Amino acid sequence: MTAVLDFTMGESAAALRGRLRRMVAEFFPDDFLGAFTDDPADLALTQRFSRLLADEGLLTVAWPREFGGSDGSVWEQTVVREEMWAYHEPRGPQYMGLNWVGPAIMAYGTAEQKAEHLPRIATGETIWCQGFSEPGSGSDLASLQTRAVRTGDHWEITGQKIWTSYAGMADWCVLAARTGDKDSGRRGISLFLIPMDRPGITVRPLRAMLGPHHLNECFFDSVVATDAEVLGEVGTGWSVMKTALAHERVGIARYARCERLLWLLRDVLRHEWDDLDEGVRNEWSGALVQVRVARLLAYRAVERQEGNEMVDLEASQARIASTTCDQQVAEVVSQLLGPRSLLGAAAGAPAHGAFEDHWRYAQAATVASGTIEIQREIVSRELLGRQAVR
Amino acid sequence: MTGERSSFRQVVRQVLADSWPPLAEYASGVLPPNAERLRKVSDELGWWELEDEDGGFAFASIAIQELGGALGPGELLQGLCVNPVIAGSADPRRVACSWGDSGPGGFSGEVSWCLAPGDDVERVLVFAEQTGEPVAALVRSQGAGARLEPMTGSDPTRRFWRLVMDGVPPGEPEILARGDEAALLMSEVEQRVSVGLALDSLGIARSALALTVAYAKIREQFGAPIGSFQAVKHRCVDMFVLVETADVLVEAAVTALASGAPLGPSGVASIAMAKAASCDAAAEVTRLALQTHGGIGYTWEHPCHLLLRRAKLNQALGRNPRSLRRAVAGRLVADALTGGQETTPLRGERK
Repeated sequence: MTAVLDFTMGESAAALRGRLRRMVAEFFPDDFLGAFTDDPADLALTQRFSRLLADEGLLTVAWPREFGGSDGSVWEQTVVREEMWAYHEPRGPQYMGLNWVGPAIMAYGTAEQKAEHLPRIATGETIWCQGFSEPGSGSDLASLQTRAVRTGDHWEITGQKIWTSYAGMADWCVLAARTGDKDSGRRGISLFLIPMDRPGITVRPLRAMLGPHHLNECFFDSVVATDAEVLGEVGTGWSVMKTALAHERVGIARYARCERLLWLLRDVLRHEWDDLDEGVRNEWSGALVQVRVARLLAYRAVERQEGNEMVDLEASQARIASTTCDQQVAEVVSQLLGPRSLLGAAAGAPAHGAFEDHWRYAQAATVASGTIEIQREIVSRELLGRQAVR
Repeated sequence: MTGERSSFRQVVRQVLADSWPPLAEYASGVLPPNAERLRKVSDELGWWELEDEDGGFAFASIAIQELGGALGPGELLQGLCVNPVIAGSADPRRVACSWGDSGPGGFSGEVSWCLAPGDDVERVLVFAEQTGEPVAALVRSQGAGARLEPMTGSDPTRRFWRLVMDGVPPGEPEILARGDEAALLMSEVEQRVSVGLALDSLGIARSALALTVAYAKIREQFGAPIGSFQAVKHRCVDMFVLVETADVLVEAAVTALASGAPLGPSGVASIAMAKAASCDAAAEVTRLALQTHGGIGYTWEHPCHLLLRRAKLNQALGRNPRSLRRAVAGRLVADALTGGQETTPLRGERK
């Protein structure tokens, strides 16, 4: 199936969408806004839903059968991504494992690592987190200082990670640590697959604008790791991370929720819509076009990722489009709904608070998993060539 | 008066330092912070009666702006900015009014986004149509057929209320004004709300700019302070320009209001410009502040996201920027056609 300039992706995709929507509607209450709320029942529901998806062969639809997948196409996977994100990610914290940890283990893992981890991701049993950012290494990720020191026949890892999504509930972590010397930059980084219950790991939740149960700080104090837990070769962590981040950047189908919210906005406005002046309605249409541009750019990046081509440019371009359309839609909503768009769910907000939730998340969209400045930097390297960062 | 105003600004800052949590510690306690002490001190210092003096609003405006920059209590915003124009038999310090853009309704339904000068609200100012003419009335907030509910939203720094009216007896509301007088009071309150939001937002924008500039100087990535990279450096300058643009327009609006004379069309237009520019500027400056801070800006303890939440709500409250700009455009065109002579009044201004 080709995706070029095709918003619907044909009949089979439509059938899949319908099936997923029915499953979500049956499983989740109307006011579900994601797994990371103050009510632990929300998280539990997403865990059960992930297992149901796995039973139906939809959790890892595009993975090969030998790893627990359904041998489906990447476009089926795209439909799943879109529908899941549009309905507030009912897979909860599964996204990291499905979207890139699994594929990275497939590409770089040993036979033992594949056998241990892939089936459990495919059944929705394990939650993964990603230990990349550090307090001193955000945009300048390659300067990370968490150290993995060779001690006898194993490694001892010490350092601090921050902004770690799901760390408090995760079973496993892909941890980036420096195995080279202090100034080894991107050549001295290795990745480790570490169980989160290993001695020496402390997780502290970070209360944030995104809600109380999303982000964390992780402290690693002489945490032991074996050679068998290194993903890829020692010292090649950076290139795995780059691939991972390119997947992460197109992995969230933000445009899908944007599209849903724009139509929801029309439903909420009902008769008021007809009284809006043309300028305001044009803003709405402009946002809808931008949402669809973001979708097509994401398809282009996915297509090239499938062909195993270098996709830094496409991934970053798609990421810029999808994060800025998140913000554009938030703006249009606030223009059309006024202060109602900022009402919390408890105060009788329209759409159970989905608009307010979207506005808050959209603010972080151009910061998380690589700031928009870094995305621009990546695109500029292709356009202008690599120059000293300034 | 410039010297007196800048000394007053120092006094306000000192009071805030003594009686209100600094931004850096703001979010570590309950939100919004307890305003009792600040209310008491500001009362003792005579801030609540500033407008009894000539040009008093020029001073009140300084307090309102500084309070905005400190994420001050909604109580003082209401008390210093709007309550001076509300008369009636009730203690004006116990009267709340809407900061939304609800327009005249009736004595049934809801009046949203009310700010109150304290927790002990007795009455809510309601604009309504009664027997074909506009009326301004005070409705008892816990009287027959009415109740006051808290409203929660994106901005946890102020407490908003919603008056829900469901069968208020016809004789119950205390009518403050009818007809032209009621329309006049309504436009007066609308102007006050616009200026109040503009001042609050200007304070917010200044604080967000100051935090961002300080952070850009100390946060290092790629071996240098992030403020040395053009992407960040130029953004800081854009933020500064937005703040200064808002500042001159807000100052013009304050001057118009502080003169005490009835507002002419240009005064009304200057208030509209100030509200639109300052609230838009603050929403954008705080958004860019969060972007520049990165993840730390949206952690709960950091004031960045709180400044952004409050600025965003200010932008949505009151009359929306689009309708304000349309009114301003109308005024400017009318001025151009008449060679700058003030002519017909615009909607909602004094005749």
